[in-house]
Amino acid sequence: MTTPAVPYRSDSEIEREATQLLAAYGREHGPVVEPPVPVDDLLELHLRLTFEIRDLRGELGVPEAHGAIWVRERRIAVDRHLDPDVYPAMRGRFRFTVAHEVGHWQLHRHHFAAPTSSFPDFVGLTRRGRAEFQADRFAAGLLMPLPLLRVAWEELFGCRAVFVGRVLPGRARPGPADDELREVAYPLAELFEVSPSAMRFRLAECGLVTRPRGVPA
Amino acid sequence: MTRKKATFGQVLREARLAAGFTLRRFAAEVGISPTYLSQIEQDNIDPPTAERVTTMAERLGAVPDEWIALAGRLPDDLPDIIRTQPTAMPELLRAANGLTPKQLAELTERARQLRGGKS
Repeated sequence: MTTPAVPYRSDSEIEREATQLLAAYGREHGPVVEPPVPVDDLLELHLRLTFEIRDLRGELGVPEAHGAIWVRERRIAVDRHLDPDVYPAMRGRFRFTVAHEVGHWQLHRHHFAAPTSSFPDFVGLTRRGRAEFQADRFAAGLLMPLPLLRVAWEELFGCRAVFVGRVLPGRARPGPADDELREVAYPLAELFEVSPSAMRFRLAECGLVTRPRGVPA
Repeated sequence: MTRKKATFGQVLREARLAAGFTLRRFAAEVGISPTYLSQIEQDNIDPPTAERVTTMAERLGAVPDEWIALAGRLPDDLPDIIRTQPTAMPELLRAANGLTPKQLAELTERARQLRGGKS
């Protein structure tokens, strides 16, 4: 499999793509005014892509695969180990994987000109490339839209003040600030049906949690 | 050119989407896991039992007997019906075998009249 080279897209551009897709969904099915974002509906009923849950890891021989997309067939699949109705703890991962593959569809589908192959065009892997990072960024924007996140933040914590943590998500080391960060991220993750780590990353990314001055990264 | 006959999985998926159900929501509606439903839709496994096919068809406004046939299943009530008259019922079915749909409809109607209009 060769993953096509995709052009650079800025974070704000990717965020805008996610916002526009959500707005287009809203025009057809009614606006999304509260979390969780109905990502399954968006994929199947709005984009009208075929959605499957498969034994991707076994079929592709890729043990770490959790999602895949076949662009020409307009088909997205998620590995069966993420089925949240069988493995409830996987709900966040399942939704993020769906949103990630939708991200490939929205951002990268025009980069495929090769003849159809049975192997998917993208497989969600731990080996990362630009396309994978962009799809992750898109997924975060889609599942945790800023307007909804700000409202939820305000309802939960009562004000717009940013939480000041000592350690940024992604570079977390155990410590009091990390515990505080977890306390902040967990209820929001539950509300948006994403994993706590995805929420922590998003909160840092959109500036709702920050590191105080003078604390090294 | 003849069009390839749609499989049970394809018909189910189309009907589900037409009714506005996502995979997960419809799986919950009929009490199965999304993975199992997805396998059925991909025709990777045998279609479910006639009882479950009936539930699915009813939820999606389809004709259960048509879906049962498409799924290659027999309606659950047939074995008992045959057992009530183990000689005459198979004979009737053999005699009716090969009739056109119109002739079968006439025969069914005649049978209903004989039973006093009961379906």
